[in-house]
Amino acid sequence: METILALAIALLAALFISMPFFFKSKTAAGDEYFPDPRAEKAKELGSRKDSLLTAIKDIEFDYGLGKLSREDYEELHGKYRSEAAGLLEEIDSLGAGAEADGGDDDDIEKEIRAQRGKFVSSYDDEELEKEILRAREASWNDGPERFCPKCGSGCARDDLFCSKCGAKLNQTETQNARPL
Amino acid sequence: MLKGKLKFIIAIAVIALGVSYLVYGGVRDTMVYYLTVKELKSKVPSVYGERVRVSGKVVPGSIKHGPDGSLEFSISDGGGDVDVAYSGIVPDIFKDDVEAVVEGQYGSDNVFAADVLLAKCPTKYESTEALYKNGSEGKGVKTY
Amino acid sequence: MVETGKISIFLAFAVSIYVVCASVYGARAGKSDFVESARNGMLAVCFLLIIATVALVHSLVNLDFSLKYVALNTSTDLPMIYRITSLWAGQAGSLLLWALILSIYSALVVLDTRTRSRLLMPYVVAVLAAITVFFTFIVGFVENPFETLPVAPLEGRGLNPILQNAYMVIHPVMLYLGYVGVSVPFAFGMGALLSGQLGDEWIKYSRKWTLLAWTFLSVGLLLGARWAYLELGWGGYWAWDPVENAAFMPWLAATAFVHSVMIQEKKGMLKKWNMALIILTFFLAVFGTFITRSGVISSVHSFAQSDIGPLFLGFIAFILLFSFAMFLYRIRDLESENRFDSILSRESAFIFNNLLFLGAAFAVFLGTIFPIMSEALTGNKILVGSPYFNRVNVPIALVLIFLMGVGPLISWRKASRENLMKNFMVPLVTGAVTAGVLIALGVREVYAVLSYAFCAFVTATVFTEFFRGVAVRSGRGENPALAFVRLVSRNKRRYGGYIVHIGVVLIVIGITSSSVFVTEKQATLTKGQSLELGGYTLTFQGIEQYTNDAKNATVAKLEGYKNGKPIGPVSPEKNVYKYEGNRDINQETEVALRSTFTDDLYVILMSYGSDGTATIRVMVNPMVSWIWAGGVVLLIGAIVTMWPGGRKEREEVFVRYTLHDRDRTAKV
Repeated sequence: METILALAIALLAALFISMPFFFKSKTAAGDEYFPDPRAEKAKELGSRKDSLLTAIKDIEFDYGLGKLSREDYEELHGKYRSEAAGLLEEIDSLGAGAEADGGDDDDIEKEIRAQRGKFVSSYDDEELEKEILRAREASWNDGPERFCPKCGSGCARDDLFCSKCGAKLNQTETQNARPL
Repeated sequence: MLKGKLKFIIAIAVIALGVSYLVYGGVRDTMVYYLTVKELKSKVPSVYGERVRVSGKVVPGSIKHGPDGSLEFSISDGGGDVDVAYSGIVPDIFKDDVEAVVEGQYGSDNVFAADVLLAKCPTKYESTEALYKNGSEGKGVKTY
Repeated sequence: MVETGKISIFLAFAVSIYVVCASVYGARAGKSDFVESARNGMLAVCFLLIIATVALVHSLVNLDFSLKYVALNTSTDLPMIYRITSLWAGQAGSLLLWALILSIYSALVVLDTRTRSRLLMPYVVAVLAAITVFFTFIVGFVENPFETLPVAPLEGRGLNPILQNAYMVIHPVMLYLGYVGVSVPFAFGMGALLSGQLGDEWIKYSRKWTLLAWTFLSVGLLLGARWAYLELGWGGYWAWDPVENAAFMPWLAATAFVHSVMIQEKKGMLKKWNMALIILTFFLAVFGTFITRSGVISSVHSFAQSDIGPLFLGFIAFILLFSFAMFLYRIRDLESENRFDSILSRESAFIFNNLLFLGAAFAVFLGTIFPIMSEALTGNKILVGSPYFNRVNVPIALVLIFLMGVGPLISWRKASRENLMKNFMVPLVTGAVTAGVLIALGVREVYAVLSYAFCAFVTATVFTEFFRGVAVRSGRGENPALAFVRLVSRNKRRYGGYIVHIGVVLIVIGITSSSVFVTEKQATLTKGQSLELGGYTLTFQGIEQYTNDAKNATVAKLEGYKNGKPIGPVSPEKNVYKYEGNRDINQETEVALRSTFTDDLYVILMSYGSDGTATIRVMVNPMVSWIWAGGVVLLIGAIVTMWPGGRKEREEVFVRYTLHDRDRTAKV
């Protein structure tokens, strides 16, 4: 009796283990099962591109909060842009990219704009999170809130005139000067 | 940036040195020799007054409870006995024949004044011999 | 059932070997059917080990004394619940439980990754199966719980009464879940090394599983402390015993890992460090099992001396050699994506946290193996006791607590001094005021003052964080309670982590208070006499004896008063268990404990005389209950952190900054 039970268990296990050899499911079919290295590479590049764009977005955000000096901002921004351009080129050369005209500046601009669009239009909670982040970070970094369009020195949000060069600060101008 | 790197190396070195110092100082000040009764006897008289840990079997019948919760007993490991005086919490498993571990000082009066008493279960904890003692004979028991 | 159990273990061993081979072959040759078969094999191993465990439990419950394991660990008078828990009371059963838990984890991993990570997973499964091979080998061939006796005795030896306790039902299981749980992140790390898939994937999975294992270890350690406190009757909860250290070391390493893993996620740094850390954590977990199970280091927990020691040593050596060889082989793929910019940044706070945790782990490790090491090196067995561990670990712990307050508020990359001052003003003032008040109140113990001040500092930073978040949300018209819930649920990792920190603060306060301010007194009382300590008065009413089915109990009847107000009877006991059999231990001291949030009254009946006198020892342990409360908070925080759902998508995109790369670009 006992032997039969043990035998049954052994048989059951053996059957279960050998199942994939007899019933090849669609998902388990060779090529599709292991991702194609090219596709994997493309996926990886894609996610790297995404995280680069997010990083650019974050830099802009931090710059806007005054967390980054202009020098750092420009350096990082330039570096990331060229990195992103290189990535787009690589993606295209893999044949996985949508456009064939290489990673020129327009492309990156487009991507960044799309990314920004996502950021702005996302739901309310996202906004709240950002605001919380700002509140958390506000006291760590009491840098300038915005920048004078003329001389580039930092000004408070409510300032009407730049304290350094006296230029008039208006909403639209500063909006342009600020990266976001 | 070299300066920044140097700062890191210094900070890490400070932590490493700090931990090493704590370990070294801790070992130096708290280490005790772990001796058998035989070794303890062989180290007389240099061992007098030094803090050591000694282990041995509790000599059957040697346990005497004092009126105020103090305890006297002897431990042995075949190479002689040592009288131990102890006052404090006694482990539940402490009784005749268990392996006792005491920590304290061996006085020149040849009494070991212990302030730590630990007891270990007999080493043959998983032996089956004992199952057949005690008169509870199994079905057609064979002695072995 | 016995035969079935035995065969199941052998089958599990064989199938595990097959899984290792099939999984690796399938991945190398690109044969998906082999990979799928190996995955099914892993599930089958789990199934087989469940059957084996059920078979053993069945024998334990039915007291089949023909099994050596059952005869040694149970007896006819053992209540049902403890017959079941005898599964982990002895050597063979514990190891079977290890293997079972490992196989359950492995099965969960297989099910969790059904359609994902196909390049990585075959190797992860292979590593898990390889560990299973080792444990099923030990359970099947060296310490088989189904070993039979030539003749079944009429009565078993019974379970040690100190193990007959509700905490012993759950504590070992928790610890095992923790120990074994560490295998999973290790398998992911090794899988990443073997497959070369060293991206974010393994880090994501191993973070998740390490957190789970860490939670089990924490809870297991605390339950063990509570058990020792209630049951061992010496008034403390932690003795730096090798068996306790064995569980504490992997906990330290795992704690370091759950912190440093964040740096890899956020900044792509510390890749080598994290890999080494997870290998180390697993090593310490297996080493812990080795210490507990082999009896190589004498411990008061005193488990069996056994011959599995060399096997474990071999296994440990193999793990270390193999993993570090793989580590070196892939070392060039583990280059950091970023560099450290400033010593005043969150990154460096994490680095110091890690170094200190590892320093503590190293110190505990050294102290634990000191007797063996000194004997090997000098021929003399030298050991270091709890003073050593306290001296080394208390300062490290204090710095860690301080960092716990710094971490959440300091910014990434680089924090300027003025901003730091502004940001830390409130918490620092809170800490300083706490220290000042304590000193004014007459507290002169430096460590205690520092500990409380740091705890206040941490609490203030955490509350600042919660307050800011809630303020923003409720500023938008949400009511504060809702705002709080939403805040936490939107970012479970951050705020769950803070809750864990609060739990740790409570535990630290409890430990500090109870170790620095404990008072005790011992006296021999005759009827009507009293003893006073720390505002408590105990009046001795006499010795009573009673008998029930299991034991003969002697009770010292005491009436307790706190500041003159009666608090009811306090009755410490000494029990002699009836069943004489061949138990090694039939006496048990049952302490009387009255626990409040300010202090614990802990009364031990030391001895009693035939003349009706009783010697009792009384301790007043301040704030011990804070430790257990802190444990509950910690568990809640950990659950919040691990709670599934929410912003999965967002968490998977890692934002990484590279800043101040002038040096590198300049060189290029």
